[in-house]
Amino acid sequence: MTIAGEADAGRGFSRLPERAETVAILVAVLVGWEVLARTLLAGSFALAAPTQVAAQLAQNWPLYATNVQVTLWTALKGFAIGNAVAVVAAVLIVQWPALERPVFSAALAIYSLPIIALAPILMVLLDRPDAMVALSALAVIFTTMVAAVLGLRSADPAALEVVHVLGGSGRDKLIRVRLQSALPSLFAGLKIAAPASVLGATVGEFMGAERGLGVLITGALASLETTRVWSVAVLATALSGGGYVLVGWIGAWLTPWVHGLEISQAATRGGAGAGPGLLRTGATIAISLVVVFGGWALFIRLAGLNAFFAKGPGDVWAFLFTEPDAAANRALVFGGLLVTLGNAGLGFVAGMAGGTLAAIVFVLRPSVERGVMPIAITLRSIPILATTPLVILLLGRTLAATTVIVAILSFFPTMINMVTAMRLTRRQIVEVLHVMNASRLTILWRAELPSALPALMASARIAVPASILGAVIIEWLVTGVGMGNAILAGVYNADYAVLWAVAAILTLIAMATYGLVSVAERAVLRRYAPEQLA
Amino acid sequence: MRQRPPATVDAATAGAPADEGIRLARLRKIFEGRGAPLLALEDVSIATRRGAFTSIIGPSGCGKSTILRMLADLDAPTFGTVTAHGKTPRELRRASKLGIVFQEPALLPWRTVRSNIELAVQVTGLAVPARTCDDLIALVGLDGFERTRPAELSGGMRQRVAIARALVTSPEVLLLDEPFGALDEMTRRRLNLELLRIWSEQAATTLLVTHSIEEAAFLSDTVVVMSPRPGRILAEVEVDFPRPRKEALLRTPSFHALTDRLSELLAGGGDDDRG
Ligand SMILES: Nc1ncnc2c1ncn2[C@@H]1O[C@H](COP(=O)(O)OP(=O)(O)O)[C@@H](O)[C@H]1O
Ligand SMILES: [Mg+2]
Repeated sequence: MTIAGEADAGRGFSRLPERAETVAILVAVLVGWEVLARTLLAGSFALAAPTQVAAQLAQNWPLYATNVQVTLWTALKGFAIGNAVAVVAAVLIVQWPALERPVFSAALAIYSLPIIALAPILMVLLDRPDAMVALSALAVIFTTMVAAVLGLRSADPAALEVVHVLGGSGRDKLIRVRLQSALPSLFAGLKIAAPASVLGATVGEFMGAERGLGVLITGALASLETTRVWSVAVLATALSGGGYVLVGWIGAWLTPWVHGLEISQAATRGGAGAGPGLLRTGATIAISLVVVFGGWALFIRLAGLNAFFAKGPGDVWAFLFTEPDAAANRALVFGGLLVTLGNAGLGFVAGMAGGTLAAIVFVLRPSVERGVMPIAITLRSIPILATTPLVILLLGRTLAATTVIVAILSFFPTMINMVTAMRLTRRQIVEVLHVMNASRLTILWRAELPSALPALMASARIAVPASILGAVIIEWLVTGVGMGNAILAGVYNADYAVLWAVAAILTLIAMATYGLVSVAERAVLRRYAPEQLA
Repeated sequence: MRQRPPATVDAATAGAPADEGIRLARLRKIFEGRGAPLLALEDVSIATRRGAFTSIIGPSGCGKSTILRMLADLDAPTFGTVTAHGKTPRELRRASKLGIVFQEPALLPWRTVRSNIELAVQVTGLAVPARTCDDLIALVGLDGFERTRPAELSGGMRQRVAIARALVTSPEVLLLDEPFGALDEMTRRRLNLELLRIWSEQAATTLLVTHSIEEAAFLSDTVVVMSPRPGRILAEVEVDFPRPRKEALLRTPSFHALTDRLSELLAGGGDDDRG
């Protein structure tokens, strides 16, 4: 074997996943899980063995099947509606660039809006089933729109010019060139949208529904029925992971001319071209604010909603600053905010750091990567519905548990994006370093890690709103602190101004953080990947 | 211009003579991919002198890059031996005595011109005086661009950086894989002249892979002509134009005679393949 052989193994990304290794690792995990559950952790309420889960599922299959069906149907409708809206928005942006800023700002606001804060409001404004579909749809709009814009813009300029010279109109270019070019990137977005739509659906179910996986898990967790908790977690993971894999297959089947890595590459860029430029200037931030507050005020005014439930920006302002109770209200909301930001920040940092470290290990040990990566890619879609109860069972209702649950949200996407980006390091650069007698660590440090910095920033940008959402969900569902506590209080007292205030503040903070990360990302791109800014 | 039959070298010869350059002995390379195994090189033997400039020309896909990659310790032969200056590619690489330039400049986009060149110094850990780097930047005509990043350079300038990076450690063996292949004809000629000038100062044993007959004839002491896949050596042509060579050489009848001769040799190989 030459060193070249080692280098080749490390860069063997053209190969199919080594199914045998993956299967072996899966079996090992299952056996280890079973042994652990039957020995060390037996009777501890933390872990249910795979055989117990299987028995539980088999015995109560009709119950589980009905609930899976409910969640699946909600998620499917949300997936369809949300992605349709996203694609239309993307086409609008690409065909009429003047619309870019307002449409992008609105979509970003929707992404930054923690659906857990919105859920109780939507529940009273709409029919319950519709509210859940809406939550599911809202959860997918932004990521799909960014992916679609990126894809539509990735069309080969020469191909567009050929159509132009042949006398084609803007519509011809869209239909004959742009839409096809957009497919790889669009499907990278749709893959992520599949688990996101399940998340949206289950958040609604947490809040109060008759059926669905979210209902089952809250019940099981409250009564500490370990086997039930694990069974629902397994089903929820299967639903999310299954959707992710299925959409990936459809995408691969529809784009036979694209190699898998190009799809992942689209994902690692994750909208570098679509987002950062927009939020760069004060003017753009002003536009975002106008869009968000104007849209909000307009929505309240035009929808003719019950004023008891529907509060506008003015009502929230009064609630926080001019009412007699304003001081107490501020204490509730802003006190909670600090706690939530702490929870979200800790989890965010842990997830990004863990994801980066895991990516480094995988790149240095390709044999591990080949076996674990397919599993990790599926786990990327592991829903908070599954991780929350499991981590709580294992770690209790502690800060550590909150941190781990939030961290998992950014861990998998960061790891996958970083591994992909490091493997995409120009082969010639790695070979030149090899010829210079560089050690493996030198190649990592001098070429692969810097090449992956843009991917790290893209992951961070997307992870910020996700971390805030995750923290609030856990606070609401489990720990009863922070903004989650404020939402609980609002629902309990039927004080809808609290809910609107929480939603507005969290949205603004998530958008601002997203903007800050975008600015930092732009600086990184300028230095490390100038071609992505072109 | 003499034409020699392909050299036959005994692989087992030990103890390299002092003036031995690159030595490929009975190389065969088979790529085992997903499909059927692919015979890329068949019985390739080459022996050059230390400090000589040798070019390989041949149709695309005939295994030129494969030969060069084996010399760079990026790939290994299926059969046969590869040495340079009596050492294996692995030994040369470990001693930081190799320099390589690919068709793509392969620069680190976040480093400036100067720092891209210094990368070689940092990675090899060789003690190279800072002046060498300055001199080299001047030599490849990049003074004033030391602090510029690759994205702001033209293709020709980027390739000059890549050449400077390969030369800054004064390698004993210089490997060039179509280094000017992506550049326009004018830039290419200018860079060829520069390359000759720099090369004459460093006296590295050089192997250039190219698909330009003119380039091979102008730069080399020996031109090796290869057949289509599986790559075999059709001819080794000695080029004895005196050095230093000037651009005017390109317009002499004897230069044209040589390029015509090389074209014929290449075309002959092509005919075999069509049969
Ligand atoms: N890593 C590889 N795996 C399989 N086939 C290869 C590999 N590298 C090169 N080849 C094949 O070997 C032949 C010679 O390639 P190469 O040396 O790159 O040719 P060239 O003369 O154009 O530089 C080609 O047919 C190429 O497809
Ligand atoms: Mg080649």
